[in-house]
Amino acid sequence: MIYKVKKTTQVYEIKTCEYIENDIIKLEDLMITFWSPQNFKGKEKNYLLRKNHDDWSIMHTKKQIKNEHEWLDELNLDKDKFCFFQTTIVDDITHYKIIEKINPNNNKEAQWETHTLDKDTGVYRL
Amino acid sequence: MAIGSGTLSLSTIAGEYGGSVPHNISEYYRGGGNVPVSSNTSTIPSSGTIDLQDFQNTSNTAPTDAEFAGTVGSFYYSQGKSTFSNAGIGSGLGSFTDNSITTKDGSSTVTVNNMRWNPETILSNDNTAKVLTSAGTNTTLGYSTWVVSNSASQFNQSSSGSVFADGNSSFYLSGFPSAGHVPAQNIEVGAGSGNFTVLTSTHNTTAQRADNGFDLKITLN
Repeated sequence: MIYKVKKTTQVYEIKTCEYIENDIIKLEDLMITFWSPQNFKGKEKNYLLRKNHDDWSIMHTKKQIKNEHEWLDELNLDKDKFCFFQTTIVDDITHYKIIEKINPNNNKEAQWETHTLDKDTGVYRL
Repeated sequence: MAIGSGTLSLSTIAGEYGGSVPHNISEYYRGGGNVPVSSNTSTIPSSGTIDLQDFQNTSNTAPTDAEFAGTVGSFYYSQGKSTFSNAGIGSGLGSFTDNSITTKDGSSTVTVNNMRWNPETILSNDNTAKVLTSAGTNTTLGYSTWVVSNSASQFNQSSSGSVFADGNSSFYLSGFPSAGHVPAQNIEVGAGSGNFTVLTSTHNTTAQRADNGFDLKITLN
């Protein structure tokens, strides 16, 4: 199964965030990003951050990983045993597989080969 | 960038530190999920009474140099009919543009001369990967996680583990799950003294072809 999550970002509040840059007080929009599961029973997640924040990308990535852990919980999957694996992004839809984490003592080459040949169904083992 | 000293709103705080709606000031205790522990957040309480004005003149950005950065080298790229494939280093290693980091408490600066994160070490039996080797300083950095980011979205990944120093002045990531080389989205950083490169990563075959020259930044948190 391909798990699909729609990611959208929009203005949450206009010119509401005050901050200082180079000793100048500035105002910027507060943005909100939604991650909305499209085809599985995971809760929608959201995240607020000031537009053009220096750490926009990193902070959103951390939130996205947190979301993935929460979705595993919501799907009753152990996040120590499974993880979301991003395969493609089509427009604003991220496609994931859920994969079973590998045994580190296994041969990694064989694991990669198996992974490459996945048939888009079920939970995958690397 | 920092929050100013005027009258603050919760929106301003969310704008600086992030957060989810419905949001509440209790999300913003120092050391909680949104506010990092650094001297730039020292006025924010970690528990108990918390007030919007505690956030005056604070910043999500650590005051110390918690980042090191460089340019990714070149890759070979092989693709078949699958939706993704593995890419690895071909030739032409990248180089550091910033290879110093400072302890969280600001007490010392460490020069990173080596980054090592490859399948062999990550897949060691104890799931501990040797990631960084510093030059000559045996220092505990005080950071607990790291984030790898890149101007190209395919490397905009992050991973968490424990970053610490051992007696040989080397920094390790530990605490990875048994997934080993898939702690996040398959980014793996290899080594050469003073250089680094991405050994393997997963790319979309249609839009995210590996290429030379992308900036790569690693941030310790």
